[in-house]
Amino acid sequence: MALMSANELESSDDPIEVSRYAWPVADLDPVAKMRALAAGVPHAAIDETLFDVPFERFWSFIEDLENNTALYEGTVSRLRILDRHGESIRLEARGPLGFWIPFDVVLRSGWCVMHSKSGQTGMAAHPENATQTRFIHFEASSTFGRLLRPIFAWNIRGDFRRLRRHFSKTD
Amino acid sequence: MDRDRIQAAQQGDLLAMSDVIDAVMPWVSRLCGSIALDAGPDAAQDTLIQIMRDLKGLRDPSAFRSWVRRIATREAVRHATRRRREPLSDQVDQAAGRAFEPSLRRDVASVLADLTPDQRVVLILRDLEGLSEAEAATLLDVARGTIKSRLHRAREAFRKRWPS
Repeated sequence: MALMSANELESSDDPIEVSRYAWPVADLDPVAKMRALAAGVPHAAIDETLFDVPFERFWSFIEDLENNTALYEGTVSRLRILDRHGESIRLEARGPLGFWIPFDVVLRSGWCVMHSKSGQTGMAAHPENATQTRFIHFEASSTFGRLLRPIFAWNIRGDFRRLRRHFSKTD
Repeated sequence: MDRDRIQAAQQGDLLAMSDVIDAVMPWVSRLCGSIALDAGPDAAQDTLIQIMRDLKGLRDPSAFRSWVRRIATREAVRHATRRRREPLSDQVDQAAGRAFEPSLRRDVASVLADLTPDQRVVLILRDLEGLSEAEAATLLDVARGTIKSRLHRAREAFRKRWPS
């Protein structure tokens, strides 16, 4: 109670002086924040699921973008990192038609967003408990959003299947 | 938050939109947690969703802060009034958060839980956010006299319950 200045002599017209850090907070995990972010992306296909894998193991696989993305992401056949400064990454991903597409990326624990001229994607994960991880993934095209949305939705379900297969193999 | 970054987010730059979430989150979290208590996480998520959906329509990026405050306050009040009161210990545990002096936060949450949502929102806007009576009245769309009387009752109730 040391940060509180209220006492019996103060009137009800004096402000309550409590440190701003002592007021209650409503924390949101990365999955909840990614749901909100995707709400601002037109025609984004979004899905989430639960993996029977501890968060640390799950995310250490996801965050190795260069080596692992092509193993589960159906629209990427190869990926190479061009530049990296802390959380900010510049990379190129080879899409289904064989073209290399440059992406700006922010990658941190439980959070990955990727932006290119032609599309956006986001992934976030959060430990559901000690042995399970909640994962959310969205994809959107800037140019053919409405048209490609069902294809992206189908692709995300495929990504989830491939991730499950990977983790069941490596159990 | 930087005006250029807000404009980039308005134009659909995903990384800038992610920066917007990072920038507003501590603030939205405190507003929603303090006003909506146990319903704070739902209020915070709905606030972020509305910010992301409506950001393109914000004409003046310099009004960003007051625009976010209005959304967060309204969502927090909406969730606080909709949610039936749960046992106090549950509300307080959820709203107390983890990072800073959890026991102090729990004490503040426990006192706030005894105030009505209308009293809490006025108290937060005036004593945490530092808004004037006129600004709080405009934001909540009520008369200044209403703000004054609610604030008086809120501070009185807070002090009565706050162990000195």
